[in-house]
Amino acid sequence: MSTYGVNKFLRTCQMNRDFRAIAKSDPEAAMAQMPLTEAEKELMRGGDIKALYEQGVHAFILSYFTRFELFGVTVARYSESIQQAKDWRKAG
Amino acid sequence: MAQVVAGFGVPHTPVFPSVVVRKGPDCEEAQLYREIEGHLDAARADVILIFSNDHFNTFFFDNFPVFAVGVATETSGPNDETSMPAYTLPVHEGLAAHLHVQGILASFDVAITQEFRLDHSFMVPWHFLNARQRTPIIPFFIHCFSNPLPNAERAFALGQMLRKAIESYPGNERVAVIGSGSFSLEIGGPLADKGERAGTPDKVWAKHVEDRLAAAEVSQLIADATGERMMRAGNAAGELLNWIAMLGVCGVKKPVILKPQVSHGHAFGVWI
Repeated sequence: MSTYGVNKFLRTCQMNRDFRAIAKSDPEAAMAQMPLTEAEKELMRGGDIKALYEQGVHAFILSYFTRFELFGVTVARYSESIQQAKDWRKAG
Repeated sequence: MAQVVAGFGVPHTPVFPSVVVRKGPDCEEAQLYREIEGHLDAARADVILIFSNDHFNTFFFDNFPVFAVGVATETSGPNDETSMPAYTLPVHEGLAAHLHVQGILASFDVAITQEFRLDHSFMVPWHFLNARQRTPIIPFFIHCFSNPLPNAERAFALGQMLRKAIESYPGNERVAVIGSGSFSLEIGGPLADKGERAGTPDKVWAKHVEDRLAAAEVSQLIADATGERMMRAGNAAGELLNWIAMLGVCGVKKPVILKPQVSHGHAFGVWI
């Protein structure tokens, strides 16, 4: 999984308001426009922030999930999920 | 010959323009930027070279140079919906082009962009320090916001090279230099405090950076600022490289002012 498509999806939400509106109203149609694997689409549908981070999506870009309220991810849910992520910078 | 007249270090926290609108002109952020602005005015700069890092707004993973300089007559921003006024900014095209060419000749392989907009990393400093004077800028992009980070010694050497390039420019321009960014901040990642959206600093590292800067121990700072250590201090901690590049231009000396905002993991500084 390259995660390029996930980064691109989220970054396009940031840069393009039309795409952002589609991502919010019809996320499947928005995902169809992006170079995403089925496995990546499944993680996005589930709002699996922990897994997306561990696969290599950039955390700043990943936080657009909450900036634009994508796939139902709230700040609280994002925070809980990202804190469970494995990270080489964490002790243990 | 053009000459370097002063260096500055400031944060580019995207909420600060709206914080100042909300809290008023006497709030800490407004006072700190105003103090820096006063020193910038006193430097009587004709050009301001700004080192900063885009946050995937101007550049993206489809094409992301480690070092790039903006060469144009003007640019605009913010391009990331930061809550602040929109500006058109003059760019010093002649000196920007000179820095690009001299960078290549000095083996720094600096990329060029001739059509670009700027995100909050350049626009927040512009808003607070230069929106009134409108001194032409040279935007210099250092990619220090994702792994792997460029080496700190390379960022410093880049600054040293650019000083020589400035001094070889056939004009009388007075050039101020700004390094923009944080010493330590985790934004949206696992090291951020729960529910925190603005970012969480590693205060031990931020204090270490501040102490090295205050003592002009730049060689030690460069040795300590490994990619691994900076990343451990947060995914935005690489922004320190913007300050290190600024010091490469200014030369190693103690700051006239260095005022930290500990809770944010950054500082405001002046080198003359």
